[in-house]
Amino acid sequence: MLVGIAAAATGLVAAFGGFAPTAAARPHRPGEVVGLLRWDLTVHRAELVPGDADHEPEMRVWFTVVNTTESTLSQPWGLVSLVLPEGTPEVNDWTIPGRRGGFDPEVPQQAYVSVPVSGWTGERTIGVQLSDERPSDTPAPIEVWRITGPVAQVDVVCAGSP
Amino acid sequence: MRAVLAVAAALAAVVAAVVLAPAGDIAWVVPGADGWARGPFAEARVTSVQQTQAVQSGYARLETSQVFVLVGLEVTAHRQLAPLGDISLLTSDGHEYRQRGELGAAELLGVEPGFTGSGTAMFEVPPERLPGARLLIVPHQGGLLYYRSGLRIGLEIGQLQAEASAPASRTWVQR
Repeated sequence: MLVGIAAAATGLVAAFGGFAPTAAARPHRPGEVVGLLRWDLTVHRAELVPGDADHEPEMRVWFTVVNTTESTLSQPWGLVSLVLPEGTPEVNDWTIPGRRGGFDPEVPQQAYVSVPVSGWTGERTIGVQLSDERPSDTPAPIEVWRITGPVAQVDVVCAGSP
Repeated sequence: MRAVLAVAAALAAVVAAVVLAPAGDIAWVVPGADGWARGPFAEARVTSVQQTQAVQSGYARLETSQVFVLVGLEVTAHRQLAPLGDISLLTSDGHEYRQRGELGAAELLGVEPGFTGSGTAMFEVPPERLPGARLLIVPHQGGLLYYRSGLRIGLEIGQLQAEASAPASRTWVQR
């Protein structure tokens, strides 16, 4: 129930308010915990993963993710964007390897987000932008959260070629 | 025309009343002397509780730095809308942990009305939160429908085991 409500609520973020004006994103180092309102996110590294017959090559950015609320949440929806030469995509495809289910309260999980890439060679520095959120007032009996804008950026080096 | 407007207004009022109704006032049913908690939509009892940091489930081995709590359950469903998608573990300090999804065939995801199902629900919880934990079962809430009653069963959690094996499957028995 809670995951469903969380998914519905987070899915309404854009519909209910869009994005507030961008705040300054403070630089953080890899391995440094960034405390957000509902999450502690730690960016560790980026890696290229070769493709195969079924999958495109992709870049993965690895995190330690801790849900700091009192209920299981599906994922840190809308809080991570990657600063790439091709643009700044928001990434919401979170994977906890070998696991199925959401992020439980105060249970650290090693998880990654990924974006498809092609033609990458050599090292690249990737900006990982973390945004915060705040609850939005609504008469509906569900939680609705609004993204308030980037608060931190972590630069990581992505080495290797897929 | 006036009748149509009146009907529309009445429908809007009903929808508003349902949508805006407070969702927190659930009446909890607890187990009787025989261990069964008997609610209007289902009956349930806990048959086993294990805590471990490693679970062998099928071909996969799961490990955690926290604790996996494996709860064996029997559930008899009475109503059409009785998928048990809302099984959670509530700690004494108010943290609510959803059933994990890694056990696959062993999980008790749903029981059709008239059947008794058995299966295992797994939770991943920091060990310091386990004392006083309770299992909550509230039927799935789809659309505007939701239940105002649920089952609440205390968990007597034993010693930490080095490893546990999840049952290979769930079962259903017509009752």
